[in-house]
Amino acid sequence: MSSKHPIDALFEKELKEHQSQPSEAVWAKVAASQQAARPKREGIFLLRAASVLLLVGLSSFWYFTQNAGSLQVSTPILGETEIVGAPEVKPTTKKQSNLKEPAQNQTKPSPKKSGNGKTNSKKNPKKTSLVIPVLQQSLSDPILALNDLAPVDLEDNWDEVEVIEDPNVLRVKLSLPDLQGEYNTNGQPKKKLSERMWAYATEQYDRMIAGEEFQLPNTDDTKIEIPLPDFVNRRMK
Amino acid sequence: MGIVRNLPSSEKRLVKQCLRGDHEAQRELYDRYSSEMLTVCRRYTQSLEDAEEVLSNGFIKIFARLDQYRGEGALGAWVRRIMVREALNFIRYKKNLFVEVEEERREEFGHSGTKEHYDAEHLMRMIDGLPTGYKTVFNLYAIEGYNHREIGEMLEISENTSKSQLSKARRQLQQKLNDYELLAKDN
Repeated sequence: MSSKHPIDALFEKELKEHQSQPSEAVWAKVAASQQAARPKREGIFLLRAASVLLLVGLSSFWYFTQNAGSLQVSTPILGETEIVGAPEVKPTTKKQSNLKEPAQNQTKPSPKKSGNGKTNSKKNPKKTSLVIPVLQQSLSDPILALNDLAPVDLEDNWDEVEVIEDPNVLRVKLSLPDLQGEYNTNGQPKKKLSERMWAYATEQYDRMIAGEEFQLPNTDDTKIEIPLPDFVNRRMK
Repeated sequence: MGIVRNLPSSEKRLVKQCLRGDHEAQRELYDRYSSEMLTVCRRYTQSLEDAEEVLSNGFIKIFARLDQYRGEGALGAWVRRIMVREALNFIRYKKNLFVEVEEERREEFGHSGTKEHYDAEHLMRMIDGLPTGYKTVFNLYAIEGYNHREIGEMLEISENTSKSQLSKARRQLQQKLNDYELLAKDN
C-alpha cells in the first residue's frame, strides 16, 4: 500500500477540516426554499390521507352492502350464536342503565331526518325501543360482542342518529353503560374476551366508549354489525 | 424509523425532526455543517460568491433528499458527497471544467520539500490558482479521497485523464509552494 503523496497530504491536512462562516444570505435562501416546499408536502400528506379515508370508506360500504342481506339474526339467541362480551375495559362513561331483554318482533329503527340531516334518537326511533350494541363478524368465525350480554335501550343510549347516503347505514353516537362481561361460544366457556378482542378494543371500541361517532349498519335486525380487523380473526384461530 | 437506525441519537433526532419539516432542526443541521461545507465548495469554485451559491443549492437538495438518507454512513459524509456533486454540477454549468492549459514544463517536484505547516488561506489561494480541471481532480483525489475510477465516472473522463490532471496539479502546487517558501525566506 503506497503512502500518500506529500503534496496531497499537506493540502488534505490543512484544508479538509478547514471552515469558514457563510453569510446569512445563504441560510435565507435555503429557508425560503423550505417555506416554499412546505405547502407542497402538506398537500401530498392531505392527498394521501384523503385517499386512505376514501379506501376505508369504500371498503366499509362494500362490506356492509355485502353482508346486510346475509344478516339473518333478528334477535340474538345466546345459545346458538357465538357471542362475546365487551373487552375488559374500564370506561369512565356513564353507568350501566336501562338494560332490558331483547324485544321480540323488533322493527327497523326509522330515524326521522331533521333539517340538517340529523335526528335525535331520543325523539326518533319510535318503533325501535331496544338495540343491542353488538359487534358482529359474520365471516367464517362469527363473533358477537354484546354489551354485558344484554340489550341496551336505544332511546336512552343513542345520543344521536344520522341517516347518511347509504340507506342501510346509520351514523350513531352511542353512550354505552359500563362494558363488562364475558363471552360464550355456543354455550361453551371460552377464554377471556380481552385475550381475543384486545386489538379491537384498542381502536374501535375505545372510540365507542369515548362517545365518538362511527358508522354502523342500519338493518332490520337488532344487531349492529361492525367489521372486525382481519388480524383479530387471525388471532382467534 | 428504520432508515436512521445506525445514527448517533442526536443525529437521529435531528434527521427525524428535519423530515417532519421542523424549521429549527433544519437550521441546526445547517449550522452544524455549513462552515465546513462552504470550504469544500470554495475549493471547487472561483469565488466566495460562487461557493455560497453552491452551498445554498446543496442544502436545498440535502433537505429535499433527506428521506433518501439510509443512515449507512455518517451524516456529515453524506452531506459532503451531495455538496461535492453540487459543486461539480456548478462548474459543469459554468462550462469551465476541462479547459486544457498549455503549460511550460517545470521541474519535477521534490517530495521532501514541504514545510510542516502552511496557512490554510495560502493553500486555498494556491488551489484557487490552478486551472479548473486540475483543481477539481486534485480536490477529489487528494482531499476527498476518491480514486481515479470514481473521479472518471463523476467527471465523465478517462482514468488516465484523471491521473494526468492530478499530476499536473501537483506539479503546479509544488511550484507554488516553492515560491511561497522562497518568499518567506526573503522576508
